[in-house]
Amino acid sequence: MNHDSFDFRDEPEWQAQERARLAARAGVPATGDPLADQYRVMAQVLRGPLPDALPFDFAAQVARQAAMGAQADARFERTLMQAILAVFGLSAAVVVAMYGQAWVAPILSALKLDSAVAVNWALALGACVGASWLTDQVRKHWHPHHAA
Amino acid sequence: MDGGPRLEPVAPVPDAAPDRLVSLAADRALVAAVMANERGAFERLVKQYQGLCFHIIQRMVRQPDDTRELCQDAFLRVHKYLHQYRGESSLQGWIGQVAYSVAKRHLERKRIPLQDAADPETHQALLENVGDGFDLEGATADEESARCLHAEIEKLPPMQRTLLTLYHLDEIPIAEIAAMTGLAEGTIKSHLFRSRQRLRQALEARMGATA
Repeated sequence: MNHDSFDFRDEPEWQAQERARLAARAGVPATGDPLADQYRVMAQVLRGPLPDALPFDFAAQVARQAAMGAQADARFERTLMQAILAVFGLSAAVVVAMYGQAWVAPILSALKLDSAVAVNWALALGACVGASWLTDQVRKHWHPHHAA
Repeated sequence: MDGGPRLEPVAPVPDAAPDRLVSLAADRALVAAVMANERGAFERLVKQYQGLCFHIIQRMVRQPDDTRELCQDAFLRVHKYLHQYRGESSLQGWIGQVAYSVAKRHLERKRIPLQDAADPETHQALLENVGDGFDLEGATADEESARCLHAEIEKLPPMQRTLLTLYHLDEIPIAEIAAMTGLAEGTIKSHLFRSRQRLRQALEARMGATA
């Protein structure tokens, strides 16, 4: 018996099964077709509700869990990102401390920043960027809903 | 690491009727509301589809405690992966696909076969017990028939039980069931045909024996 394809020779009996299904759906007691009527009770039973059911507050419970899960995911992602940034920053600081002396002079020279005036301008630019970032952080802290 | 359900896109119906377009628009609106974290939107979605999800998982798994837990798992997955729903097919089909994959994976983990290994001997035994021209409705009380049928439905393999329920109780078209389960339409039709034939024969055999 092949379960994977429908045999066209079964078509008449399939049609009888379908007539029984439609009769059960319409609430018609008999189809007038003897073969279909043999399927009538079965079609009626198959339309019946299943035993058991989900708890009446199932939807509310799942919605609560989904919300909690989403918050936990977001918290985890945020923590992970902070940890990665911290590790990256620490690594960068260690590398700069170890090899920075060898880089700073050539870089400043290449960018023509080795004069005292240029260094002052670079420091001023850095201070501006830092102050802007700090202001933004403070704003986000006091108005978290507008942060996005 | 769990990569979530492997969701295949449900094939869009080519000649979408106007009511289907309305239904798709409603699906998309509901999904947009959930994605925007609108208050109560996800609860609304769960309420709308918990019946379908329960039917699929209950028919596959049958254990009430496992069913409740897996239904919950299915909806949490729906919530997590809802951004993958593109709105080209029905949300019902997409959620059914999630529920089916959750239940299927549960059965696979427990090494419970999804389908019946073809059992020609049982089938033949049933056929031999069926009388010619048996008048089923005339010969039996509906209540007794229903009891017998429920017992026979429980004996069907998980997949056949589920297909019968989706087709008869949820009235889901074969094409949509195919999209949910990943089975070919011909295979589903064959399963439905054989299962219904088996139920009728089992009922006739039992009623014939008691008459």
